[in-house]
Amino acid sequence: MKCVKIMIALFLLLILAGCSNDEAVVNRVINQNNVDQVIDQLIEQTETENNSTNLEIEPSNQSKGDMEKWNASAEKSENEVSDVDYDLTKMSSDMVYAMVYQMVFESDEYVGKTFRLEGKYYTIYYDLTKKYYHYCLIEDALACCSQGIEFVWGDGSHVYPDEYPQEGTKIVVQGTFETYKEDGDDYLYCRLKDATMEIVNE
Amino acid sequence: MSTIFDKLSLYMQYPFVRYAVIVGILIALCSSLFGVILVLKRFSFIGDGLSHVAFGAMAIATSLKVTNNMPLILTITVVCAILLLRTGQNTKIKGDATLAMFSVGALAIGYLLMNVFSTSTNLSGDVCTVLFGSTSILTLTKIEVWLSAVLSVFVVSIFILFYNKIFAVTFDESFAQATGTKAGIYNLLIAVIVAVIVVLAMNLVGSLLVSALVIFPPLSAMRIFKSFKSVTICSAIVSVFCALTGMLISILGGTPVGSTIVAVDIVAYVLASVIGNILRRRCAL
Repeated sequence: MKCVKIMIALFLLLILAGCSNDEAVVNRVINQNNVDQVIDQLIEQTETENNSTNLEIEPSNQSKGDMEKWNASAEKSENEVSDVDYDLTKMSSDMVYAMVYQMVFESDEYVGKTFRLEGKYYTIYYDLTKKYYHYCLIEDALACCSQGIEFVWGDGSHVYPDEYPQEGTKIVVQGTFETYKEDGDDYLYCRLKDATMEIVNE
Repeated sequence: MSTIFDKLSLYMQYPFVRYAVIVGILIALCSSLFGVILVLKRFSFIGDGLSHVAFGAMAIATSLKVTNNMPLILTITVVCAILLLRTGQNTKIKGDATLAMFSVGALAIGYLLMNVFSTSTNLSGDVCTVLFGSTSILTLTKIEVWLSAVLSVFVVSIFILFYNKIFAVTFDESFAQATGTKAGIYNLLIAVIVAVIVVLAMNLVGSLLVSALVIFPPLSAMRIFKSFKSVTICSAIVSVFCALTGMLISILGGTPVGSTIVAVDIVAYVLASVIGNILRRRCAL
């Protein structure tokens, strides 16, 4: 009887955890969490500042400066976050790798969503289409496997190689996920369109 | 600390993370239960040998471009496990030599097949992922998740249902046979189950680290407890705890999942050894 109970409990756990597949919930939580994080950080740091100055009525020039900086960063983060569904730059390397895997293999679930990801810039030239394809390459935790997400910088009018960075340069790409097919090719490809690209200074 | 929990709760919103945690816990539970039997029957190294066979099977599946490769890997590994445990006793090549032959043979053939037939542009990456797990557990397909869950439940059920018979065969096979227990059939059952566990555990820690998942929790439990029942229960708890902790650390810190779990298992073993020594000294006083 005890064994049966354990088996039922295991099955219930499996079913409960497996059923919740609401992507909207995921998105909402990501956005809310990021905004909340900034706000919480602001409140926490303000409180710490107040405590350390023994409840000074007038804030010092230093704290005023910090507050302006925090406000600016909060506004910036809020603007950044508001138009990003999945911010992969805030995830650990395992999560980023798994997320990119999901994007490639479960692409239908992510079409139309905006992504922000960090990786290395790579490009390839494909003879059949006579086009350059630009990628943001993400490595896994073992650094032996990597997955690339293709992106189209802006409207695609940027000239390669003049306007693009050197291969291997660390970049942050933000764009809308879409799938497409090339003429005469049955494979379904995915990429980030209307993407912005920033070079990360290490 | 709250940031870690915030991050963790955020990650847990993703279905693939939840699947990974559930499958990881189930695999850890299965491997620890049968790990006790393997350690007691002095078959600890069989997990390693079978994991290499599973690697070879995966290479065959990759060469044949099989989309869902788990059934094929499972079939080949189970057949090899039966051959190892059944025919190994009656042939000219005995015990560990047969195991070594299967192990290195499968590894070599597997790598050869992947080199010759694989169309992947990142062959070393593919091999590395299979051998060390990397993030495999986070990249399971829904079919693999269900298959892993069903197989895990099957393994745990077999252990619970045949607990007494398995106990008898593990400790004194001759006596069990003399009392009417068909030891051969139960050994065959154990071989099949171990093969299933190896194939499942490959997703969690990779084929090279499967043995660690099978042997460390029982060894840790044996440092503290002496009876079969208490060792089995402790082993299951240690294994599940270590797998969960390892997975959470790797997801949060971005470290390789398999090696992080094994590192946590090693820490648990050291702690269990210390606790065991303290308990023994107290009992001696």
